[in-house]
Amino acid sequence: MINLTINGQKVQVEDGATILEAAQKADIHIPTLCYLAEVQAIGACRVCLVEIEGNRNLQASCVFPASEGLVVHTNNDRVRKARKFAVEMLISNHPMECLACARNLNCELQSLAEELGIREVRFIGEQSEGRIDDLSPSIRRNQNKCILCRRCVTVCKEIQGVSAIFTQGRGFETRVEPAFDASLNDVACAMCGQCSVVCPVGAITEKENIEEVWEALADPTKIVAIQDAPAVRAALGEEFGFAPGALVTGKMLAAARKLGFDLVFDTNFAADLTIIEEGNELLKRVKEGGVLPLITSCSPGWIKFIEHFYPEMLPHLSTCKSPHQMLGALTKTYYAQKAGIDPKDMVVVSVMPCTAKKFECNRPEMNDSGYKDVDYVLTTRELAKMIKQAGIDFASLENGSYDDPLGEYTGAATIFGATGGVMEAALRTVYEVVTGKTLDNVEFTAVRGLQGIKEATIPVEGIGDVKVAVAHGLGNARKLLESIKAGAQYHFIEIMACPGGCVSGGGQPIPVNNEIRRLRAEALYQEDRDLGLRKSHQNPSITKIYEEFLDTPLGEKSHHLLHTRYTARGVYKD
Amino acid sequence: MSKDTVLKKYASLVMDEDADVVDVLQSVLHYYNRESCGHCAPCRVGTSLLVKIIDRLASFEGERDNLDQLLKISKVMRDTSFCPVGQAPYSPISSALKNFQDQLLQHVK
Ligand code: SF4
Ligand code: SF4
Ligand code: SF4
Ligand code: SF4
Ligand code: FES
Repeated sequence: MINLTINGQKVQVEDGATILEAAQKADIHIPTLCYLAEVQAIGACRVCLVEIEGNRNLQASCVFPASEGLVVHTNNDRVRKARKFAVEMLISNHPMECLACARNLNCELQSLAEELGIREVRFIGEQSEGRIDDLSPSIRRNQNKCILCRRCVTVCKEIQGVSAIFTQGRGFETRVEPAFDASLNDVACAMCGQCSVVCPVGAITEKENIEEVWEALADPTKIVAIQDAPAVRAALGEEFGFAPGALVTGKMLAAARKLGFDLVFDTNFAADLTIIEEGNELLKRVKEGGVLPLITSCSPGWIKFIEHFYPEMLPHLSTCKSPHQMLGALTKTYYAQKAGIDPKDMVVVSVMPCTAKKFECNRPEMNDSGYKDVDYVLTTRELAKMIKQAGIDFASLENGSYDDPLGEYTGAATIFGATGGVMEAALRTVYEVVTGKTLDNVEFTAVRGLQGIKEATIPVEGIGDVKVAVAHGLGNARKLLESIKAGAQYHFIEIMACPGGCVSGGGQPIPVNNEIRRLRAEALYQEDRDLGLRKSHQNPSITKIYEEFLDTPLGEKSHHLLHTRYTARGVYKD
Repeated sequence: MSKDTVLKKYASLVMDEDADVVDVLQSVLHYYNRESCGHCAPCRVGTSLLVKIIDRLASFEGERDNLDQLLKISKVMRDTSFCPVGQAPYSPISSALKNFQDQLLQHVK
């Protein structure tokens, strides 16, 4: 243990702690900007400067190690002036476009300027000539707003193992760009959006589709359906002042109706359907000696990643579409027929925790209904913006409900939003289908939680030990794929592109950290416990859709509407 | 120690007897601006601001305020930058202001 003094207060911390960590332990606030807990500490922005007695220069507390006997001042005149200067330097080269910025009112630079009391722009410097890259269907980058904190670079490289963007040039010419200043759309980018979640400012955001959706809602000739992914309900509340982990399913459904959506469906229905299709796919591969391990395919960021970096492993992927694409195709076929609606008049909007799904819905193969199966994907953040734009008082909404039949779901579906959830849901169903016995303890805790790679072996009478693994975050996915290539044996693997799974997807409310990931996941596990039906094959609307329409899992109709194919892309643009 | 010691210390400049201090500062500050790696904000942006100001002085476009700005900016840069590059401009600037104020003022319009 180390003893030091901060602002006259005695603080004791573990060896290896930084001054920032020591201050946090003592509830002393030090402003930061480039630092991001669990991601990076690089001492670049100099906002976290402190004065250490005996040191000539101020020191960046996010990287300066605490040591025995240090006497630190975090809030004297010299420190305040220096911090203010560091932020003024950033502002001197920043377009003041807050009023037209996607991060207005949720921007770390804005709040720092306020916290440090900046009231005049003293320095007008050179303005860097960054560019706006909005060719990617998922991500929009505005280099002019970049403050070079490098969080995006670190997340993309260290957490996601992709390195689609990095710093180039030096000095004032430094900028964050893909190789050869290409568009993000033209490089090996997973479109996961994790860069947009960590960006403190509006330099990387999702590519918004809000205007297109408003237009569809305003068009009297269109029937507009909305569907929400499981993870949305566990995080949307944060945009309206609810604590992380507040489950707002009912309010979300009510808000959807108030916004004017004609049909309110739930992606969870298709999550249950995925379990039936994918579970059968697994059993088929096990019985017929097909390619194993089978790997889940519901995370389009993960799909884009494997298409770029491990195209030789594509045969391992389940051919199941991601759930919202299944639901889109069914809305424009099954539901349209049932309700007597011409699918050409339908617009399907998916609200997703994800930016990669914006790319996915534009894939040419996602037109199996004869139309674009999902017209627009909105992130959770965009839905929140629409609710605010409509002047809806979210917090006081009464619980709403979804429309049958594409809204009914079980607890197994709702846990899809947390890492390990798809695996757990699949195990619940596979176990009962294979053994014909009732599974009493449905909670497979070994696949829950934030450990990077989780493994379990489940004895299933009839097929023997089923070996499974779960990875979240593309860096962990890479490790798991490498271990498979090196000979590790599994039957079934779940991979989610985003660390923590969809609860902390690239389209979720900002900020996020491991505690928030845990709380959002817990909200979903709670909804699972609260639902009477906790196994996908118990969903009555699922039974019905096979009777009325799909016929049999992996059958002809399923093959056509619910399954897809993949594209080997390689690392360079083809 | 001769008057121009500090000017030379970081940039190894050979200064002619009748060299103009603004020219010297200009080349020193451009040097640091080129050397700035871009990692930390005070140096990345600060050196570019210093260069902008000294260029105006060099072309006799500067204002009285600019001298003060050079000093203030470089001083906080010394306090806040990550490495010696961003910390360096203060010494030559303060030394020039102290010892060659007359020459500098001639550049103010
Ligand atoms: S990034 Fe922040 S400071 Fe910059 S324009 Fe947007 S809201 Fe304003
Ligand atoms: S979207 Fe994902 S893969 Fe692409 S640049 Fe951002 S973090 Fe990297
Ligand atoms: S794009 Fe955003 S996250 Fe990346 S370096 Fe710039 S400000 Fe930081
Ligand atoms: S002070 Fe050092 S680290 Fe900071 S930008 Fe200048 S050269 Fe790079
Ligand atoms: S937060 Fe410490 S230098 Fe940026």
